[in-house]
This record gives sequence, C-alpha cells and structure tokens, in this order.
Amino acid sequence: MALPTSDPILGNLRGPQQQVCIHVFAAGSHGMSSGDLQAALDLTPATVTRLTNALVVLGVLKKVPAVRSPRFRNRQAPVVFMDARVEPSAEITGGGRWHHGDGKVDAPAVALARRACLDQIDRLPGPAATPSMVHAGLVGRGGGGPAGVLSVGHVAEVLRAMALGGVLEECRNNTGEEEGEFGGLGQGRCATGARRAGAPAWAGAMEEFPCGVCPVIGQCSPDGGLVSPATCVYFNKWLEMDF
Amino acid sequence: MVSQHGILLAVGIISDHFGPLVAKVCDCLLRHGELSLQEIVRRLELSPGQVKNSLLVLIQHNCVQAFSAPKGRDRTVTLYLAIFDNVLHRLRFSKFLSVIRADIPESEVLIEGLLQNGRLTFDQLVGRTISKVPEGSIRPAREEIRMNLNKLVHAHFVERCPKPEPFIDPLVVQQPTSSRRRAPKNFEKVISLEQKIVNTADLSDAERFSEIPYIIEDASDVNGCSRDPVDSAKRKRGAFEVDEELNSTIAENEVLWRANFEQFTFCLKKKFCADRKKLKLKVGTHPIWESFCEANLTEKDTDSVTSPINGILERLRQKEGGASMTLDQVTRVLEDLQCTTSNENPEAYTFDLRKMVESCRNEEIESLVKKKYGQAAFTIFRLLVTQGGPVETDQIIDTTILDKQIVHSTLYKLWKDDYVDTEKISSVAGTGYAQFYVWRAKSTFREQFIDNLYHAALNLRQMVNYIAELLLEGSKDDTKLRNRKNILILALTRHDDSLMLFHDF
Repeated sequence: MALPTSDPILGNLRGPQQQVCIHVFAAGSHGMSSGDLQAALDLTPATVTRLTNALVVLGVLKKVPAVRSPRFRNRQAPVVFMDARVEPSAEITGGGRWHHGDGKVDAPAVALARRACLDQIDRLPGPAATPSMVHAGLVGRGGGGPAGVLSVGHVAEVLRAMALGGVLEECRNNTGEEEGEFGGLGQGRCATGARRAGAPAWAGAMEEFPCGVCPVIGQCSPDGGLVSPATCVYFNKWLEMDF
Repeated sequence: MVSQHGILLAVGIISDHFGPLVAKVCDCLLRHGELSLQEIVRRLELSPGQVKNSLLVLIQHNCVQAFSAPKGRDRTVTLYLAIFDNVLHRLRFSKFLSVIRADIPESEVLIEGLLQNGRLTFDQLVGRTISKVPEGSIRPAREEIRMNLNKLVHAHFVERCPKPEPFIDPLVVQQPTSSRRRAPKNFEKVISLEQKIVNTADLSDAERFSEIPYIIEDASDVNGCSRDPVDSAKRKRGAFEVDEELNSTIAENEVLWRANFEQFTFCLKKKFCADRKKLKLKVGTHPIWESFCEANLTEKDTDSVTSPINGILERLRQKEGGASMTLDQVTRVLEDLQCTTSNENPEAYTFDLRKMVESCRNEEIESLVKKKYGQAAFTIFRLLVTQGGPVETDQIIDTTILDKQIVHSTLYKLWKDDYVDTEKISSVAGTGYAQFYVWRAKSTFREQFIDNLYHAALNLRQMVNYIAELLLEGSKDDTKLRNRKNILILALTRHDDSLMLFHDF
C-alpha cells in the first residue's frame, strides 16, 4: 500500500507496524477488527495481536468496542482498532446512524431525511422509485444541508422504516422486463408512494365501537361480574355521544 | 374446536331464535363435539323428549347434522354434530336476501321462506307463497313458483337437503385431509372432521342442484289435480313418462330444499373484494375493474374470479369513458390489478381472491393494532409479521428508527396482550452481551383476534337485547333507546363483515 506522505505518525513507524497503521487509518472511523487485519496483511492471529497491542500501548491506535455494528452481528469480534485521533462512527459505538448513544432517536435528522425522501419520490416520474434513484435525486438537487450527506444506505433505511409505518408501500419489480412503468429499475426492491394513492388502511367495524380498543376485554364477561356489556362505561359513553 | 366466545355467540343466537332449551343442546354439542342422544341427555339432565325436540329444531334449521357411526363391532349409533358456520349464518340472513334482491328479485319471497323455515318441500313453498300474497293481488301460478325456484337452484343458491343420516366412521376420517374450503393450515386439522362429515352428508353436485323437472301437462290436468303416481301408471303412458312424472312428484312433495350458504358466502366474498379493491384503484381504472367484476362466469372454485376478455370489453364499452380504451390499455390495467391469464385459456383473466382476502385480514389486524397501541406498535408489528421469524430487539430499533425506550415499552404492551412472543437467547461467549431477546409475532395472534371479534359481536347483541328489554318495560326515553338500538344493529351488521372476512371467506 502506498505511504500517505503527509501523515507524520506513519512516517515514524517502520515495517509491519507501519503496514498495520496504514490499513487501520485508511478504514477511518469504522476501524478494523483483528480478523480484518489478518486477512488484509496475511499474518497469523498471534502476530496481529502482538502488533496491535504494541501500537495501542504507544498510543497510536485505540481499541473501541463495536457494540452494534452490522458487520459484526454474526461474528465474535467485539473490538475494532482505529486511529487514536479519530472519533469512532456511531455505528461502532452503538449509536447507529439515527440513534444517539443512549438509544434516543435523532429526531430532527430523521424528520429531515424523511421529508427529503418523500419529496424526492413525489418529484420523480413514475409511480415507484428505488433507493438509488431517490439518493441520486437528492444529490443532484444538492443545496447542502443534512439531506445532502445521506448515503444510499441511509436512504434505504429511511424508506424501509417509512414502508413499515404505512407511509410508503414496498413493491417489487414483478415482470423483470425493461418496458413498462418499471423500465430501468431492474430487479430488486423499489418503493412506491402510497401517499399518492391516498388510500387509508382499511379499518374494521370493530374500531368504531369501544370493544375494539377496550383495555379490559379480557375480563369482560356476558354473565355480569365486574365488567360486562350492560354495565360498560365505555359503551354508555359511546352511545350517549351520539346525541 | 371453536373459540370460547365463538361458542357463546352461537349459543346466544340460537337462544334468541329458538329459546334457551334448544340453546342448551346446541351449547353441549359445540363444546363436546359429536354426541349421541343418550350422551346429551346424560350431560344436560333433560328428558329425552326435550332433547329430541331440540335436535329436530336444530336439524330442521340446518344447524345440526346427524350421522351413523360404528359402535363396537356390528352396531351403529346415531351421532349429532353442530355446524357452527350455519349457526353464525343466521346473523346475516338479511344480507343473503339482498343478494337475491339484486340478482333474482322475483325469487326473493322463496328464499325468505327457506331462510325462515330452514327446509321446505316445494309444496310447502307454494303454500307459503300463496298465503303471503296480500288480499286483492294476483296469486302466482304454481308453474311460476316452480320456475322461480328453478332459477335459484340453477344459480346454486338453493340446494336439495343432504342425506339425513349418512354412515361415517370418524376414526377413518380423522386423517388431516385438505378440506374443501381452503382454511389456513393451522385450522386444517381442527375442522377437517366437521367438514368431512358435512361433505359426506352432502349429495353430489349433480344431484344437489338438480332442478324440479317440468312435465307436460294434459289439458285436463289443471291446478289442484292430485298427482298420484299410481293413477299415472294406470293411464299407461309408458314407462318413461311414468318415471318422469314420478320424479317430478317426488321433487315436489318429498324433496326438501334449503338455502345453499356456500354460494351466498361466495357472492358476498366477491362483492367484498370488489369494493375493497375499488378503494385502492388509480384514477381511470374504475370502469375496467367494474367491467371485470360484472363479466365473471360461474366459478369452478370459490377462490378466484374469472372473466373472459370479450365480456369485459363488452361491458366496458357501455361505461363512461370505456369506449375509447384500447385493448392494450385494458390488458395492461388488468395485469396491474393482478388479474392473470393462464396457458389453457389466454382469453380469460383470473383474479385470486385468496390473496386479497389474506391481505385484507392483515390490514384489519394492523389497523386495530395502530388504533389501540399507536403508530410505533403498528410499525413494529408489521416488521415482525413480514419477517416471520425471530428478530432481535436491536434490529427492531434499527429498522424502525424509533426510540429504544419506545420500542421496549411497545414490545412489552404487545407481549402482554399476546400479539408477540419473546425468547431469551444466551449469546456465545465473547460478544460482550450475556444474553439478548428475540421477538416474533405470536403464531396464535390470529385466533386471539378472531376470538375478540366474536366477543365484540356478543357484546353488541347483548346490548341490543338489553335495550329491547328496557323498551318493553316502557320508559320515557323511548326514542333515545330506539336510536341507540339502531346504532348497535348497524354496528353489528358492519362488524359481521369482519366476522365473515376472518371465518368464512
């Protein structure tokens, strides 16, 4: 790997230590696990451990626990090494892209991202849009602001969350052909604006009268007792409300 | 077995219509499955006469099917099985009447008679129809009544009653078979015995829907002449004519006819799906969808609707804006609406009702979750249902982009009310966590929901009865009470759509 000449720290290191640092610094705020380093440098685990420990002691690298990183979900690597000067990304520390460290959602950022994505879907021709199309549109519009720094991954996550929330509808390209409304989309997921269709989700009649949302329906018994239809407070309120 | 509140609802209906004694017998059969007369007498401690009469009423109204089963090595015993579906259909007789009113209005009075009385012979139907005619109006001729009944039979709305006591061996029958109605897999084993008994009792389709034959009458054979088969034989018309007349006489005097609930259910299902689909249509596609629904032919099964393209185009041309649409446009819209063609018949488009029914069911449950627990619960529940398998808490938080606190509290609420299940998994050493939780939509949330539907219907009926009692006692708030009663009845009629969606469609 080429030596970035501007970095003084790298300039002070030699040999395998330098190689390790080059890779780790290149990984930026995501860092690299010991497994990644073994694969990149073709070294044994013991060697990598020895090198990284030495660098940590020197203060060049730091160890960061990777609490909630999708990369490590199925593996046993809880720790990444990264440049001591760099802040770990929220992915690694457990904040996630949208969450702070304490689990609370970054509400303004999410709201902004949602609005931007919805606007973009409305602007795009055709009923459906893939995350890449939405992302391309956002980047094209530029204008700075937080919406501009969303990656395709971010956009996909926001769209998925909105689809689950009923604001958008997820659809698949069912024909796989190039023509038709899905032309150019190819295979894979797309999102279509249910907003535009304007159809609300169907509500059963049970929501119209109190039993549907009754918190004590489990204790309600027709034979009387504490909770029964004849003595039901909610029913009385509901029927009286119509007059 | 039917759920707890389903049984209570069914018993409530029978009690309102036939009295508490019949309701007790029905309750016993619904709770314990098929029983013999002796067993019912023993369990209820009623006299055999009372139980027998109750059973007769229930059989007359198609709520119980009798059958012979082997007992020991060479004896048989008569067992009685309650038919839950038919009891619940009593809630919707007015809907069935409206189907006929729209389709074959001249036969409405016949269907009314069959629904009110359970089963009747043709002679009885004629007698009833004539007696219902108001003073001064023209009495319908027997031939006209026969024609109207045959119309109903031809359209499969009316059928010949099933065998009164077929022989069935319940042990042989208990292998899970695919029931005629495509019930969801987790119901298959439960209803297969009841469905099998009903299927075995039913006559073959050809016999079930065989119309009353017409015979050419002599000039002397005016209304009112007795159709004595012996007399006919004596007239020596020939063996064939005698058979025909015999058949006709049997068909008129002895064959019992009843409403075929399956066909009514299917009509209501088609209408339901058509109306729901309309809500989601894009602008300009309404005429095509309506034409498709109107053009459909008699179906081979109750899970799909098929219409030939020619029929669709013909009806489309009569609609506003329909004449200008090209074949290409129409076929494209039909494909968009998920109407497919098959290789055997590329000229006909088929719409799968099963998928539509399934998605309507999901929508209704999700909508209730949203109303009861909020938007966050709606999102989380949809995630769990679409994933199917277990999902880790953190993954839920990431995917739904919700506050961790909110996710935890919502999951707890859903878990408490049996919508979701949780499992604690000890993680492999070295990941930094001792254990984590996975969540999944509970496999029984549907049954729970259906039981709540029955419970709600039961509550509505109770309120209606309660207000009816208050009205009988007389009170100064008469109008107010009547209005309340009407609101409840309307709510029950609309709620019945949900009952049908989850149980019958």
